[in-house]
Amino acid sequence: METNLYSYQFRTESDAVPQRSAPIKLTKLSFPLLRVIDLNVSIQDKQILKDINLQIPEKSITCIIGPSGCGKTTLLRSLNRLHDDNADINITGSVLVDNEDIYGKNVEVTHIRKKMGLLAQRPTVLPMSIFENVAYGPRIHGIRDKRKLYGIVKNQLEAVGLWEEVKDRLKSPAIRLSIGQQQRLCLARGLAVSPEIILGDEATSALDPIATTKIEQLFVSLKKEYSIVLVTHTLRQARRIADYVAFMYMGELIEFGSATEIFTNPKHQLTRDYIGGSFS
Amino acid sequence: MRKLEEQIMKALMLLASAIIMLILGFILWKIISKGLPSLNWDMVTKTPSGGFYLGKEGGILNAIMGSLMLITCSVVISILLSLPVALYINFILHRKSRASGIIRFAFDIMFGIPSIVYGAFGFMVMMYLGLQASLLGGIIAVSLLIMPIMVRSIDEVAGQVPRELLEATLSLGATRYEMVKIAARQITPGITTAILLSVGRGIGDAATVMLTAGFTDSIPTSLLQPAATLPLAIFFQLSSPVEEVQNRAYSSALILTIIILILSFTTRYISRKMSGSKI
Repeated sequence: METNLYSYQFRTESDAVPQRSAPIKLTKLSFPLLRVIDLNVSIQDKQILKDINLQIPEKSITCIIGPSGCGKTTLLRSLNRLHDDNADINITGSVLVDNEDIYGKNVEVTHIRKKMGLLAQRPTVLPMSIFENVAYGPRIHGIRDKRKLYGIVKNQLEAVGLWEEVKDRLKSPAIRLSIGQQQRLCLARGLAVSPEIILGDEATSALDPIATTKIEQLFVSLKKEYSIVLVTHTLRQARRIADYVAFMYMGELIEFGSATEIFTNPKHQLTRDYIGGSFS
Repeated sequence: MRKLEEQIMKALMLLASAIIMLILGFILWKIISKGLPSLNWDMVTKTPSGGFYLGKEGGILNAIMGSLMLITCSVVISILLSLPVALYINFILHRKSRASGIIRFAFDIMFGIPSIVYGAFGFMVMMYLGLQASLLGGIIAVSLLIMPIMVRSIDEVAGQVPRELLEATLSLGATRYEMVKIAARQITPGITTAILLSVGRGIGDAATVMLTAGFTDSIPTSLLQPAATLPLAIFFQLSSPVEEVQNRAYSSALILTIIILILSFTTRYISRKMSGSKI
């Protein structure tokens, strides 16, 4: 009943405001690293994403928020071509990374994915040692030199604040770490292939508050070098760390803007309601 | 009333467990009490003298070696064929795709075929190839017998590999083949269990080897010679009219049980070392 009400409201408002995907003001940016243009995703004729147009600003944290089932995760996965294996999913439109369409014909998917580190909801350590987990990425991309690998592992583990905790047991299985440590290890593993973008799919939802804070702090410190896109279900998290916020509802991008704009003065009624807590 | 219900169900479950434990205990007791007296060093170090059917002297080294050779080769052959199949239907094809379903169904049928049929089939193949009862024939038949067990049990664990792990690997820019390697590594404990299951099944099966591997007094020195196996040794000894020889059957059974236990413990140990996690 509730959803009907909102979708109804949405329709009337959208008639009044012709520009569906919110106007994007990115004055301080030279050019965005990641651009989504007219992206449509459907699963077995059911449309999940409708005409998404989005520009992800460089070197900042963009949070994608919205109620469950609004397509946040689908959008995030489209950025990394993780829908490739599912024959039921049909994708049109384009996603540009460094001005290269990742859905283009001659694009190699491994090359695209290397540019983006993905952090899943639950940590997914590889079935090998702590060291090997981080070294895996560089190794498959051709780095064999042991010294060099060690250097990368050390650097990345330091970057996620895990080095001091694990330096004496690099050879022990990664699965023995705590969940929070595992998630930081996964982040280090992603960083080790030197991506430009970090994608996080509710990356803290399985973690306790302390581990969550650590990951959030990491994101904030990492945004100096990486562009970060996070799907989050908790508004408070978006408030804490987001520079930009994209609000999605029923497969459409309703509003995009800087965090202050969205949280203090949202333009759209739906955004206002969602942020005000009328629905979640 | 509900409390009573709970009590009754609890008692029933306990009873069922107790019955199973009792049966196991009884079998072990029977094997040990009857087999231990005739068990001696000669049993495991010598081949039989005076014929395997009536012989009270010598041992069953021929059958021990025959069984071990047979099962080792069969396990190697079937893992080489089963692992790719299981990985293919889970990670290359979509797990729930139609093609996977068909392959899985085929192995289900294979699983349901009685071992004597594999024996007969192996025998036919041997006739066709012009072979006599031989180690090679036994290996072919036993491989066929254990292959579906391996595929199905590896398939079972492969289905438990979280999709997130596969995606995490892909996200690092891995190819599908590299992803499959990670998946295989993740299910190493499951693969070990599959091997164990099939070793247990293959080494203890008499029907497949009866027609194919034959039986002999000596240890086979080539693939084309007949090979003795433990289940058949037990069968022949047990059907002997001489009581001493009958008792030796229990010793043979005890030896077979011990071999399976040793294999089971070592494989588990190795796999735990390899995967670094508990099974």
